[in-house]
Amino acid sequence: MATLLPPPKRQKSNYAKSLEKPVIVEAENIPSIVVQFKSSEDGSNLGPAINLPADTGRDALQMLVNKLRGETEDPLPYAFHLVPKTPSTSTSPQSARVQINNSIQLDALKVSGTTFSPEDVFELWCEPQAVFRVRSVGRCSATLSGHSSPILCCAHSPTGKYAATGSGDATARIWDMETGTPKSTLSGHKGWVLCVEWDSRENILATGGHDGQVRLWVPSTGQPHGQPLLGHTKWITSLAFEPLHLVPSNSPSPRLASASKDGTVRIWNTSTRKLEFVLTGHAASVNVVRWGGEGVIYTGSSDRTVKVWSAVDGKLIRTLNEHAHWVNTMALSTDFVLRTGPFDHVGKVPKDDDEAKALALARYKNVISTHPETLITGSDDHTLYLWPDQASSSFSSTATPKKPMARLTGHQKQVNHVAFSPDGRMIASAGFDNAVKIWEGRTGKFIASLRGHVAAVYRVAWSADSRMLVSASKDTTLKLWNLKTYKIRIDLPGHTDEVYCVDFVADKVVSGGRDKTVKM
Amino acid sequence: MDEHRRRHGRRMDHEERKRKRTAREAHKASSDAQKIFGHKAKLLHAKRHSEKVQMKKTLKAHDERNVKQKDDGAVKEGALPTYLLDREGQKDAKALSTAVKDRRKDRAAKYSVPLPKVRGIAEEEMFKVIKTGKHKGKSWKRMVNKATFVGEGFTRKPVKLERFIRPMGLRMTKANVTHPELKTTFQLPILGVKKNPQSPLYTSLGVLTKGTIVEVNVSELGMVTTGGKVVWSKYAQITNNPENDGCINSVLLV
Repeated sequence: MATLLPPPKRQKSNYAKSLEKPVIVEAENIPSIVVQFKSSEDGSNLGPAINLPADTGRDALQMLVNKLRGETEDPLPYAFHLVPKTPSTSTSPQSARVQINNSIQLDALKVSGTTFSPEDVFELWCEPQAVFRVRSVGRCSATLSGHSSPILCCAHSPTGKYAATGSGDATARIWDMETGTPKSTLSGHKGWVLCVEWDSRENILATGGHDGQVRLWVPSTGQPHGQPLLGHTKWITSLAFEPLHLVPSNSPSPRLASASKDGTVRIWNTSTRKLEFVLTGHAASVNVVRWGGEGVIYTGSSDRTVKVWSAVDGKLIRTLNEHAHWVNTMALSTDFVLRTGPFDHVGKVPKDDDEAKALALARYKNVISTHPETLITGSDDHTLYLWPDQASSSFSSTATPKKPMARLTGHQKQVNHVAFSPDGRMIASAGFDNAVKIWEGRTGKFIASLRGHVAAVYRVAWSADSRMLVSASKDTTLKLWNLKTYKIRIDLPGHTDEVYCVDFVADKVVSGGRDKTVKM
Repeated sequence: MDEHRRRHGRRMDHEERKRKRTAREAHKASSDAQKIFGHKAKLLHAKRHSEKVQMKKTLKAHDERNVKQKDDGAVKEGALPTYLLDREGQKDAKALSTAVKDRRKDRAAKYSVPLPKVRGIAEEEMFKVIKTGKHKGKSWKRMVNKATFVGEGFTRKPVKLERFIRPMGLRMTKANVTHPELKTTFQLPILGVKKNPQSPLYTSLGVLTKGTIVEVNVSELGMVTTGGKVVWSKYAQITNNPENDGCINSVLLV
């Protein structure tokens, strides 16, 4: 007798299936931890230490912090992170802090190689974030051609409606950002247009050229605003407008500071187009000039010094010489606020000059109240220096204005560009060593190094809510960085040659480079 | 010649004669060029040829200057943003080395002296060998041939042990110090020899040669520091050869 196969099984009925014993999920042992919330502005404790289960989600943590601060009506979004107490060798060398994105259990305890255990008291640093969120940039929406030479500089207007680009063909063009079309062409320069700046009321556009001329334009019509401002003997390296809240009520338009390779900075009155005064004193090219919110002008130069001048009479207040090589770039913590003036994310258009000034002043005071205006300078000697507030008349006993607050080392090559995030909490620095480094804006402590570019990084730009960072590099790509994991979020290729300049407008990134196209 | 001119002036018809001579020069030059022969001629013609070439160049330059050309507004190729200008092909290593060299030059400029280099002096010139001993066979003593400075309260070592003799006739105590800005000269007492560029041995002996840095007493000048204290000594560098002139001329190092 051959072996008989057993009769085929009957399909189990639903009822039969339901009689199967349910699989018991093993209840994981979720430890209970003690959490102390600390505010990252001043390090103070927000409420007492709280006993929490370790898998509390980020939203729950956020709600807790808002309740502790008593802000249940106007809840602010918060970002949390932990600082490991002892730097263990196995933690990634790139970041010195652990971001809490999901919950403490998933991000800190479960991740192997970190030195956290459930018995510690976790000090959770909370950083308030901007209430609005900028939409993430995904792809190139428009490629605008028109320039016949590499594009050297770009700047977005304070409202975000327009962007201006300057190029090597001696013209500057204004592009309409909402429709992605060119608006006007501003020609008149006799050399490359090296820098372009908007004033905070969007009334005047200033361009500086390789021929040493500064020209003013009216952006709405595209016509020049009078004769060019002559006086510099070499090319213009940088332009800076006076902040709106410092302009006295009788003069209609802010003054303009122009820095040039000939070592001088000239302050012009834009309404009369006359020279007000000249700041001399630098022994070599002045590379960058910034107009601070307290009525001081900062200049960084190739003679390795940074000089602080009074904007009222043009007298030198102080010289800061700590750098060992050319000072390439400078940024103020109030840069974003001064540049956008009275316009904020609400989108309200001020009716007249006085209202605009009042709005600008209110925004400025808001930023200053948490932390005074600090300056960061980057140089060819691979370091950056963070300087304390230069203008305040009452100095704290610990900080002498001539000594830097911190020295930021880590770059292996020259530092090309540095930028403060709009809320002043973080600093991004781009260098020729292909890395973008993030530092803490208050103290200058290193946070993370963003690697991904394969050639020198030329420029960085922050989004208005300080959540996104875009960097432009010699390797023809732009990269958008995820600031939670410190890795690349989106790669924006598409340029066919080096990208020289980038700027972040509302939710668009405008970039221009050697391939003569502007991409949005 | 200058002395004579200062004393007696020139001839009455000097101007006239000078004018006529310069007028004749062109003719004389041309007749020379035609008549001279031999190697004198070769030299003269070579010189004239180079002068002619120079003249042609300057004339051409003048012509170009007079013609005002319209700048074709040639905007140069290769536009670069501001942070890349001045960086043509400069490698990182070179940037660091140029920075280091710049700093060294800045620092060195602090110690610049009027005479940075001096002629080296041989030992035979500096010392004369003195033969001693019963049969004048020993020659281990030396006598300094140049001006020296010995301080106040200097007593010689025991003669038998003295190796270097500094003759009293060549000892100097005062120096004529010129202030470089005021251009006035004062006679100031020497306080000591700071450095002789020839050798540290000469510094310790106190030999004064050209280029030596000496310390002089400047209380006579009445200089005051920013703190209110009176300056009473400064450095000066010797600018002549004292053994030839019999006096020390120097320049104050301010």
